[in-house]
Amino acid sequence: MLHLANISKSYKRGALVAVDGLTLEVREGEVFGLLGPNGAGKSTTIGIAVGLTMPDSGTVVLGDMGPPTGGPARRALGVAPQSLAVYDELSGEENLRFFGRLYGLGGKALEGRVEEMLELSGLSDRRGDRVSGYSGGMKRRLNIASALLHNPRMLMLDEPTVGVDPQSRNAIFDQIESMRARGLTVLYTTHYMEEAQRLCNRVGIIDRGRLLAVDTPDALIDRYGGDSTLTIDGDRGQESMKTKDPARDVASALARGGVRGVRIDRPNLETVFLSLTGRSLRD
Amino acid sequence: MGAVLAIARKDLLLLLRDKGGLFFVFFFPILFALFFGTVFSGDEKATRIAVLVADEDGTDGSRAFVESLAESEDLRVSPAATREAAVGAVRAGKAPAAVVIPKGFGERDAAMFGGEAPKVDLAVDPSRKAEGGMLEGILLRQAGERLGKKFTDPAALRRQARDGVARVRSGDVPAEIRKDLEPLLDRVSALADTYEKRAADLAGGGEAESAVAGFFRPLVVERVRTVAAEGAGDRPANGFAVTFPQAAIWGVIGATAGFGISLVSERTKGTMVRLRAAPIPGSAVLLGKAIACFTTVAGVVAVLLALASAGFGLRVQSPALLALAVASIGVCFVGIMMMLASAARTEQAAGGMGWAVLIVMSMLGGGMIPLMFMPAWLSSIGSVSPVKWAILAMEGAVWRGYTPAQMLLPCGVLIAVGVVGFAVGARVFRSAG
Ligand SMILES: Nc1ncnc2c1ncn2[C@@H]1O[C@H](COP(=O)(O)OP(=O)(O)OP(=O)(O)O)[C@@H](O)[C@H]1O
Ligand SMILES: [Mg+2]
Repeated sequence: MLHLANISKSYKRGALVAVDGLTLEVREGEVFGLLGPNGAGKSTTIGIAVGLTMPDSGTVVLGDMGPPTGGPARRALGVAPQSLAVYDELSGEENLRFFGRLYGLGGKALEGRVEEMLELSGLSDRRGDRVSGYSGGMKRRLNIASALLHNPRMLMLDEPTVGVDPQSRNAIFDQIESMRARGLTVLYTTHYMEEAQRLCNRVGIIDRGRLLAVDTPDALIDRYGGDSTLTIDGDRGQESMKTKDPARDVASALARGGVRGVRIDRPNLETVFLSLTGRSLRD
Repeated sequence: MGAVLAIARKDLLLLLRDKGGLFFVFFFPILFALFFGTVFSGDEKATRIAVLVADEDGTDGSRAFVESLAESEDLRVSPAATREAAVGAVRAGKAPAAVVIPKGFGERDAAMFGGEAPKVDLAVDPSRKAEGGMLEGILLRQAGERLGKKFTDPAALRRQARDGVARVRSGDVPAEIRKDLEPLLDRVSALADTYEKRAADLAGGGEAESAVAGFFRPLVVERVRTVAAEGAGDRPANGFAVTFPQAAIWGVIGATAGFGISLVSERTKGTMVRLRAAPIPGSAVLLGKAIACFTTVAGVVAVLLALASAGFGLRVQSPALLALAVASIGVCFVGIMMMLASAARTEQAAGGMGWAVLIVMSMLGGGMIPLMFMPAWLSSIGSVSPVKWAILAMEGAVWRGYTPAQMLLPCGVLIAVGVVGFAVGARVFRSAG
């Protein structure tokens, strides 16, 4: 669906490389996660993917619609920017109506879509209130809803859970899972590895503008995650060990006896990132 | 076009929801117009120059002079007991000016031929220079009128002639002047007789003064109308006709700053990203904003001038030319708005810079103090300010009676500034990505 080939973008006359030779494909119907720390180049990549930022080099193609700057491509894309794209002094439904009109929606069709989106984002009962009175989570949900309003084929979600309370975060997860179920293509950026692991079919690890690895979360963990850590609380105190087969090691420890408790830490995308970069995702 | 209008509508709605913005765009200008309009044209007496008068002489002559000052339409005279009281009040800033009539005024005033000129002392608050000049002029005018009266009142004239002859003969006057003055004074006596005779011929007594009025008036100043009639005879434009167009400029400035800031805030928030990602031409975003700004600017001017003509005696001479002026002002300030918004990175910068630039423009262009009160060099600098041309365009259509050809200059300047501003702003926006 979306092909980025050898994209580079630098700022400050080349002194700051935001995206560095990035090649990436997002397949039709998948939720693709771009996981990386602050400043990794996620937003820049999204900007290039939707045709708002001109790359210094490389090409962007959106399926059969060519570059993302054309009319049909724009209609096929929905963007929920990292900085909220909603007007504080308009109500939730006024925001939705306005963005709908930009996509040529009007009349009954527009009202129907607005209704659906308010429902989907759980904002129906606050529809008439000014957005300035919404919580951070409600604003995020509205931000996503207005990107979905015109029924795009592909959705770009740039850090959709930043500054969101746990309840709204779960609502957003549900929203994304239902999109995935309906076969919508999603490019999702985050620096929370749990989100990438839970929501994404495939994940790309990005750091300092470079894409370091791409695969399903399980495959990435298998390949780069390393061993599990097994911690046994016993008569002789606490004991930690690395293991490829924690179940077998637990069984043999129990057989030896004197075990008061065990803990298994399986590798995750955090450990993947650590082993790829030597740094932690959140520093 | 649908998208452009949707954007314009959204921006107007945002302005309506912004109480601070609305205040600056509509309510502040109305307050400004009402306040200064009232100051300039409300109570006639309030605009007169207040002056304290201390009469140290206390003669018929000095009393008559004080009376003539009190009758002047330009002065508000209050008596002061002493010179010290009068001058002290000026020094303390309690009165703008004081006139002291020293001893000997009456005597000198009576002696028209020979002797010294009557003299008054004038004290003016240094911060009221303009009033000082006006006051001096008024004093001289009053003196001139008194002189004229003396020359046309037969009794006074005869007394002057008699006293003059006595003074000349008493020896104060140099011989060669006395040689000319004595026959002249004789002729003056004869003139008084002629006046009386002529008055009797004309109407039979009583009207002597009118029969000879005008013979001895040093200067008659008649005001020539520079402003075309305003329907109600030749009443000139009142204070509100000046302050409402001026105040409209404040609304225009408020709207310009407001939309400039809102354009920047689209960029700092994520909304610009979404607008630009929408399937609309890039120009639609700027065009929508421009239409909203234009509508507000034109609306402000229209509301203020409508208010002025509904309640404050303003009469618009040419609605068609006014429409042209308003449209030109709209184009101009849309361009300025675009330029401001493209130059600023943050809303705070846009707000700070916007107000600073616009206030300087307004100051130079006569939006605060009318240009006519400024020194010549400053008011000619004002030509660089679009505010000057905006006010001129409005006044041209409202009460200056400009022809369409005369409107070309101010409107042309405004449109040119607007077009250049829009082009520069749009270019910067595009390259800023
Ligand atoms: N317009 C710009 N001008 C200059 N530098 C920029 C610009 N946009 C991005 N950068 C720089 O490029 C780098 C990548 O930024 P980007 O916003 O893509 O990172 P990100 O992965 O989205 O980070 P975050 O998680 O903080 O959103 C950063 O160092 C950033 O400072
Ligand atoms: Mg980002």
